Amino acid sequence: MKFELDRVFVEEEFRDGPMARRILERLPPGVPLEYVADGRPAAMADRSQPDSFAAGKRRLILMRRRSPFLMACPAGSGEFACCGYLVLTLASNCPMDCAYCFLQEYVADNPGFQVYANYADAFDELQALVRKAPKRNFRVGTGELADSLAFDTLTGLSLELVDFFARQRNLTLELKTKTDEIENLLNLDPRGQVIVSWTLSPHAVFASSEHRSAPPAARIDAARRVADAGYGVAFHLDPVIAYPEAERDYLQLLDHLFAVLDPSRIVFFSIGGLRLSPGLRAAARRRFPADPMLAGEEVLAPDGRYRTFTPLRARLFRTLSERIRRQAPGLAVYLCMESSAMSERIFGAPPPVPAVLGERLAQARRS
Amino acid sequence: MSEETAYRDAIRKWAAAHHVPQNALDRWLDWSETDALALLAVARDLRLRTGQVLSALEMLAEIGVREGQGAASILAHAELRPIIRGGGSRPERARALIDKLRELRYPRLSRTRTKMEAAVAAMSLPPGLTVALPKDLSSDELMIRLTVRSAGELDRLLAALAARKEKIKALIEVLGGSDEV
Repeated sequence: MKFELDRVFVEEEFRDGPMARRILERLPPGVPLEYVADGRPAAMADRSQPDSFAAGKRRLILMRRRSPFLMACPAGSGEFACCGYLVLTLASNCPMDCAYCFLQEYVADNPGFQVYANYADAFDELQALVRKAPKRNFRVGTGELADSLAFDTLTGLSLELVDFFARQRNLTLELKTKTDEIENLLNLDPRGQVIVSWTLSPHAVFASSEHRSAPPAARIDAARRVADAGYGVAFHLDPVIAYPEAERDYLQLLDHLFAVLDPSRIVFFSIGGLRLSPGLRAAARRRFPADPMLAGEEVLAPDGRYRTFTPLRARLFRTLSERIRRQAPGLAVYLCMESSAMSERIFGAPPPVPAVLGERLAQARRS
Repeated sequence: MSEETAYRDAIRKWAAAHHVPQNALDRWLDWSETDALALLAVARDLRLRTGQVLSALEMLAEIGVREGQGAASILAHAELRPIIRGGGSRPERARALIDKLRELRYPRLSRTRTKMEAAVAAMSLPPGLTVALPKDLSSDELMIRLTVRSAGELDRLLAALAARKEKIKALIEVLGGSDEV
């Protein structure tokens, strides 16, 4: 991926570290570099900029992560049926710029593109988790506060991640992306412990809202290639945006996917509807005032987020899950950030508790 | 005074008289002259209240983004013209305009809600028994309420409810996305 960087900051303590060397070797020429004692001020929003969030994406900060790397998925909540996903935060913010992205609100105060140089500490946290619960299986993803692969050409982090997870028995890594940056993965042996997942949207959504991401067909082609290389692949139809032609377009997308990739090679699907907190909605509309995908039939839902009104959202969920199940009976499909009642309505049975679903999804690759 | 300033001043004057918040006024003034004046003309003709202008501003902008049209084209829409130009009292026409704009802004939601409201009406519920759809169909919860003052009334309403069980179940299915929306 081509980076548009205005400036790079490196915390002094990491200036001679392997990550700094890798990044500095691969930086586009002419990007100013500054060594700082503490990268946090550089990560903060520069309110003098007309779009401080976009400006933050162009400031790369190689710095220490001062809070735990491992946490429960921030999307999880008692009001939703969750998938037991654990998030490993190795970076924050993303070089792509999706109009609906929750980071516009979530990291609005700290939008600098932070890459955490002390990432080896994350491996210690994972090993501590395994020691604490040696009989459980966990699915751990790096794609929540950043795209898992968008900056891999700079950092080469995937090489170390895959190497670490390939040596685990009860940890599964999920690399979630909207890119086709898979070259680093192709010569590694994930030994059944790594899933690469793609967020998939129809071309209309990609063209309107998923700026700087790879086109859907390129993502699907990349999925085929990593599946050939021995990785599990999974897909997130999330957010499903209910624009007028959505049903037709999402079904065509699924048909294309299944034509390219044998459904038996897919580990799971998740489906989630567009959901925007009032703050996110305002930020997204301010930044992308002409995006019709942000002017759909969303209404304020009981959870305080704008969502597509229920009958339409449920109909899309039902239609998509039925098409997936027809093509791939038995494939795990779950809803993200929806109530148990909605899951039961769509799938005909209540969803498993998060720990159980998490366990199933973590093991799905090996079963 | 240039024409450019004149139309902006006219809008500012109307906005000041009606306490339109600054951010809304800024958005209004961001529109092209044709679009901005089209809303001003309607606001004057129908004597829109401040809240109605704010709703119209937001819905016209959102419809515009989706349909690729400006406010003037939308307000000239065949479904809106008769309301703006037609008979009836100004408050009635103002209300009708906002309702119609909401229909244009949320076409599938409006159709689904109208259909569901018709289904509820067709149940001919007795007094004391209500079936309430969720606001804006924003959830999958259907609220059924019994209001009783005697045991006999409770028996009658429960029987009435039981008699309508299948129709209510069908309504729940529509809420859950069983129908073409």
